[in-house]
Amino acid sequence: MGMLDEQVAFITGGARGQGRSHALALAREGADIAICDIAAPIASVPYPLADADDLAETKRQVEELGRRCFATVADVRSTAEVEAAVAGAVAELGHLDIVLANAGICGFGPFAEISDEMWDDMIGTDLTGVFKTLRATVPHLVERGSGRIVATSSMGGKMGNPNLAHYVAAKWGVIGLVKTLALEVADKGVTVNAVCPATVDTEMVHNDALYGLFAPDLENPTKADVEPRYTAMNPVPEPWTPVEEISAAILYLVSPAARMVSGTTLDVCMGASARMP
Amino acid sequence: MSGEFEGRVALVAGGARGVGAACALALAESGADVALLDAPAGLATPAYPVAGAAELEASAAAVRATGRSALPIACDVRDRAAVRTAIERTGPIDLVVLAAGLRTPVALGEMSDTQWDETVDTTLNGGFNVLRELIPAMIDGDGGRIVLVLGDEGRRGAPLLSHQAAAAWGAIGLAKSVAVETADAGIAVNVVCTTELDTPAFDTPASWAQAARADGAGAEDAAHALRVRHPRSEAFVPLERVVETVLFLLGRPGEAMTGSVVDISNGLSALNSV
Repeated sequence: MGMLDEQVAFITGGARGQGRSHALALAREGADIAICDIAAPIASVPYPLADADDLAETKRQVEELGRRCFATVADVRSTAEVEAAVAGAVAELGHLDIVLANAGICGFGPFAEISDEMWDDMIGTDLTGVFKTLRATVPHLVERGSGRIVATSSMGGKMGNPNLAHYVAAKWGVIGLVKTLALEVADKGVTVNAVCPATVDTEMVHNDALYGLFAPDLENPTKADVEPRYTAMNPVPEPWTPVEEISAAILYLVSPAARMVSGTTLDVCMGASARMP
Repeated sequence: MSGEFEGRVALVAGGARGVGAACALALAESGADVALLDAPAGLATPAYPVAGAAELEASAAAVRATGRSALPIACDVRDRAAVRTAIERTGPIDLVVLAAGLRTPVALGEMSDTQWDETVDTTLNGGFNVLRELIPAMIDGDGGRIVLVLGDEGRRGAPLLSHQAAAAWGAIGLAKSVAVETADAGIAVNVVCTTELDTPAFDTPASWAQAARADGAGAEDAAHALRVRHPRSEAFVPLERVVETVLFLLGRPGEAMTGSVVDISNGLSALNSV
């Protein structure tokens, strides 16, 4: 018996990283899983995004746990693709109980050097993509009179970060979106929350572009070069948060224990929030 | 006439009416020349008439009546090329007030792409579009003062205004990041968040219903609900209080103050957790 037996979770950005970890964590608790992912590069994103093989690998791992998995390619920037993915998930798996708006990209640049393309891809994916995911799924939850929505914001959604203005703007926006939808569906049995991770140990941060952001003084910084710098940012002296820790927070927010928790943000940040007002 | 902002040049986005026009006039009365951006083109979603060329010209005339110069520019902040062209016309800017915004209440599940896009493009992307054009010259020059005027939707959730809340929260994240990046360059970026204002954007049945949390509510129902919600038992924030705060943040006290949010909320912010 799992905590999420009979439930269906829809997860964006499910091909790898946090999305895959969440898919497997929920599947272990008995949920059937629908995942979508862009599974293709975005030109303004300075590191490789997931591909079709990654998407298929998440599906394989979910099925290996004995759960059903519907996997499809969808760019969350596209209304039509998101709606098709949701329709496909409902057709295949019957209904939706849990929605994880997780798909996200990162990139960086000094404010005045952020190009239209960088800004639009970032806001389109990390903010408008969350909106489109929630808009397409919330009627399914409201109709059943129950449901759990968790959007992935960031500790960057709670403070300013130099050279990440577009990412930070999107992640702050996600929190405003989550708090508003929480009020709109508060009497419909649906909870809406955000999880705010610090730097998570995924492909999004393990690449030359993001290493450069935290070691601008070094020519070709390596993982070993940046590790102590990341560690120094955190009260808990670890460089990166393991994906499983974020999945654990998600599991709590979708669990019966959190049925009275809505409109809030859960920081998983190695103590960084202790420094904030 | 001499004033605190003598010899300074200000740019006010959303300067044709409401908070923007009031700030423009107050800046002129304090000695600044003012460029006014407004009269957006092609907005499909507001249920109220947005400011047009006549209102923009009237705001400019009020500025000129103080003896300062005004440069009214019909410019939709969503339009990057238009913003670029506008700022080529204004030349260097010392003081910036970003006050452009929409109010189009609708439930998230029923929100169209256009409703989302017009609000997010105006409040969030519009701020980015203007600041990106202005910041390099401020960094290379004598710095500057920037104030974003946002709704209280940027401080909490606001039912039926998920696009406005997302855009305002996002704009605060934007402001704080730019504040950190430019803190050593003599630039201060701060935010003013206000609860409801008695302006044309609020004067729609959809806004009354949103404020009253009841379909079919009228203007007085909305005002009553707002009085009940706010600790000061006032429905609206007077424009004058917003203007005073914006001018404070544009002035010298801003030197050590950047990245801050000031709430003008008839006491609602007293209920915030932080």
